[in-house]
Amino acid sequence: MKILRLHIENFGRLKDLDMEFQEGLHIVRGDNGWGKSTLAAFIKAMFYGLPGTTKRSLKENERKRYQPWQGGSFGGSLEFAAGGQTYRVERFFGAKEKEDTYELYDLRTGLISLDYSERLGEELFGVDRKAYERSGFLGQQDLAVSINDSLSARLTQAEEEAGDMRNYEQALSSLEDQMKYYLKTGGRGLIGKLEEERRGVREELTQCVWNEDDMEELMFELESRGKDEADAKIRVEEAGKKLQTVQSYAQIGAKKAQYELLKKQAEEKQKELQQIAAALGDYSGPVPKEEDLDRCRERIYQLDGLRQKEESAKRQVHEAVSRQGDVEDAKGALSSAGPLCWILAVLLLAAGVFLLFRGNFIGGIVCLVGGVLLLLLGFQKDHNCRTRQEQLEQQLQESSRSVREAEHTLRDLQKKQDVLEKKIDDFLGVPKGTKPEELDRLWKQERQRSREYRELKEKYEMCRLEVSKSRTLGVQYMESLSEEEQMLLQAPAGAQPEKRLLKERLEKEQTHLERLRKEQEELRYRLKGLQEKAEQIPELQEREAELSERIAEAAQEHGLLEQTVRYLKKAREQFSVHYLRELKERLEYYLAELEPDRKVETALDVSLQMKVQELGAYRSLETQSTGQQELLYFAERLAVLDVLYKEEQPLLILDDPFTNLDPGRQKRAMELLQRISQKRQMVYLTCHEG
Amino acid sequence: MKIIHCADLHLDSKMESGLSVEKAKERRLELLRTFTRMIGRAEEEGVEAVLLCGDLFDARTISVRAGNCVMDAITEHPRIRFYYLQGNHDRNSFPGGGTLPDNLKLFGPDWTSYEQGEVTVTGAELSENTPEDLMERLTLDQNRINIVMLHGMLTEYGEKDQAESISLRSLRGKGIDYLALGHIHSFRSGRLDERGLWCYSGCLEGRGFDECGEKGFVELETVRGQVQPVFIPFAQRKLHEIPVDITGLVTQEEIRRKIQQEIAGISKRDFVKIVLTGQVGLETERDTADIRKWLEDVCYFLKVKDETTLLIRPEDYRYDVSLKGEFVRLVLASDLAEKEKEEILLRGIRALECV
Repeated sequence: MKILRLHIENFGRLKDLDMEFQEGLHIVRGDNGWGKSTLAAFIKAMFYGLPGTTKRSLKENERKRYQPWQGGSFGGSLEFAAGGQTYRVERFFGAKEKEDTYELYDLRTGLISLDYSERLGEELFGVDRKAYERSGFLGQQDLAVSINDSLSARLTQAEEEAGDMRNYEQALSSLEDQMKYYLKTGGRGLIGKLEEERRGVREELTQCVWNEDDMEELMFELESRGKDEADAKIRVEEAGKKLQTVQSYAQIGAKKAQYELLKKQAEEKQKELQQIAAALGDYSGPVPKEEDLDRCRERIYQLDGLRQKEESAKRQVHEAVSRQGDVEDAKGALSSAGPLCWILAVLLLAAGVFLLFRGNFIGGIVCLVGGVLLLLLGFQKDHNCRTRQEQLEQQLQESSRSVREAEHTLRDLQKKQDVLEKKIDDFLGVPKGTKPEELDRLWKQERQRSREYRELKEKYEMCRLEVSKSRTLGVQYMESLSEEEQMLLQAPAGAQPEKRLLKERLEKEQTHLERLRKEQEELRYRLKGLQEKAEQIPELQEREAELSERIAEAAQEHGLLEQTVRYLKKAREQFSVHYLRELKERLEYYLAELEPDRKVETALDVSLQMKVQELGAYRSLETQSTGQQELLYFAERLAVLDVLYKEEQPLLILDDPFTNLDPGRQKRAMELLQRISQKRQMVYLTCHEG
Repeated sequence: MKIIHCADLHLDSKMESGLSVEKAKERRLELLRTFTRMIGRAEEEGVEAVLLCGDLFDARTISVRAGNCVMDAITEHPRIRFYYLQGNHDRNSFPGGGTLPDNLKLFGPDWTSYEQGEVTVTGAELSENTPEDLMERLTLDQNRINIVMLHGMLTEYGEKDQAESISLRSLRGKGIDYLALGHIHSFRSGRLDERGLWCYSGCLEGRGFDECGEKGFVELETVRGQVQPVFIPFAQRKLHEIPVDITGLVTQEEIRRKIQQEIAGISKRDFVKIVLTGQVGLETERDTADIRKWLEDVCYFLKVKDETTLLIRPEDYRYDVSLKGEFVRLVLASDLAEKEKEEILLRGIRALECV
């Protein structure tokens, strides 16, 4: 690339300046303050424009720095040849980057060219503004600064393109320090700490989840203990009651005795009553009442009377009968003809008739007469007999009537007697016809029995009353006692367990109950603890989430730093590979040109820091004389230019760089410049003549 | 008849990370308080039923405080019937053990119906025990006002293998007047069919920045045989996620001012998450921790997230003959994710420049 001419409309202190450039070395003479740096900045601005920065310092803000002092259009134009073509670039600048204008003209056609964009410098030279800044301008002043301040010198010097290369080590260590903040060996560092904390939180969380399982078990256990407790409580109460019963027995002795006495009395009465009742029960059949007995007695007397009457009646009957018999005898003694007479009569009559018929008259008459006589006799007798008979018959009828009457009376008596006897028999339960003496005896016996029964009955009633009274007494006594006493008194007096044993049992049960309660309390306490723990779950989850987030952030940051370091290292490697070797060769070449008599051994480290070997050791440039330093930096700058610009070569502006060189070296440097200028355009600004 | 439909209270739940232990605790208490506030309001408004559509609690262990709070709310309002349908977060752990109040109605894996006045409330708890043909088995009396409670994800067709998936299609034409849903933490509603509506009440309080916006419950009123739902914002605090574009800003002060402008209308009680967006240059100062510290007092809880992209033009470095140039080119040419590239460049360039 060659610059043909430039026109500065307004740029810093320069105004309306035209400058033609020849090929090769172009020397411009100007005093200090002429504006050499401004010229250099203008040329750079034509290729690269002005950066849009908000920085306030004039040194850093070129837009502000080069604003026309007298106002007017800020910018100008520059004609150059590149790639076999000639162009004119026109740039004018505003207060802000977006107000800037850029035009590129093809000088051959005069038309706008699209061969290069606004990024003209980059496209032409293949380096950015900063690299161009560092390489295309070699200033004396900057060199001088470099002597005093090595750091800023390096930043502004020829090898400045490697500036951040030198920062590399520090950048790397800063990044690595940051990484260490996050992660150090042995699990230290923020991530380690956070992870440790999170592990704790997670453990706690796991514990809490286990606790939830435990809680379920505990709740189950608690429930079962609760049941056990209820059972144990009942047992304690029972044992207590038993013991109290036994204890109360002693205290209640007197009452008990009184009660027992009453009870015994009542029981005895009851027994007596029962005996009486049994005795009463012994009476088979109904026991006759007194009036029944009296009636019976009367009946017996009546019966006795009746029997006597019966005897006399019988006697009367007997007498009547015998009288009747007498009559009948008398009657019987009355003989009538009788049948024999009548038969004989008939036979004689029959015999007489027979004989008459047979002709025996005599015999027939005799028989007939005999028969008639017999008949007459018979009739007489009959008549007499009949009269007597009639008398007797009357007598007989009379005696018959008296017999009948007597018999009737007797029957009446017997009937009455029967009725009486039946009643008596029924009453006394004896067979019929029992003798009156026997009846009397029985009656007396029955009367005795009745009397005894009545007495017993009375006794029974009395006894019954006594029993009831005795019972009432017992009940009243019982009611006068407390409920507890009542229970005690009513409790079977039987074998009461020994007090000592009961006490032991009670104590055992109480201990058991107490233990159950304690266990429950413990369980509840544990449950409460677990519940409290479990209730922490949300907090722990929050904590865990927060820690995880922080760990993730830290890990991401660490990862990014790691990546950054990786890429930085890789960049350095590539950068070194690209430039270092060639740079060293070119440096050695230029140093040989500048110091042909002296072999200067130099070394470039990875950060492109140049060192000089002296007395067997590599020493930094600060150990060298000012002139020597200038020379070395000059050589390095040239080497850098060779390495950087492969295609179009930019204009090199030199601002009196050799003022500190001795005349010999100055001469060699100028000769070198002459040689280089054959292939590179250079503007040499100087305030010196010659 | 007035009915409240709420869901996803997630009592005892963990809170947004970054919240201090005290504030997280306070927030958990606020969740409970909002619940009791809602019940108090229900009493005042003469609400007769409260539908709790799942995820009343968040975890297996219910804190004593939360358990008591809910039980008290139920037992102290015997006039109100509480319909409690368990969600995927509730684990059969209703407090109170054996005896439950009469005004608390529970559901099971199959349909359970309760009648209250003109309304029939039907619900089923979706889980792995859900019968496959559950939706087909739903039969309702067309002459009543039918409210169906479910907790799950509503989709047109339903997801076959997901227990909590609800197929919209299978519930159409069943005579549902109002499908009371839980699971999604924001209020949403839509038409189920010609007759009914579906509705997610959302949660009562937002717990994290994934639950921004208005939170509350739905108040239903039955008017002439129809259900009319109204969403009632009721949260104690709101959560906001506010993107702040800081393109072109350089200093922390500028960024802070911009943020303050953006959050000017927000209540001091609220949660705010600032998301820095836009493209920033290397020179832009953006220390999120610093911004958070600065703005700490403007709201209850502030979070700052940097989602800006670094303004690096590769062409700026194409001709940069330096280690930095080399570094930038290398990183840009790598197959890392864009964001990662930016972060690495930022760190590398700062390290090189800030030495």
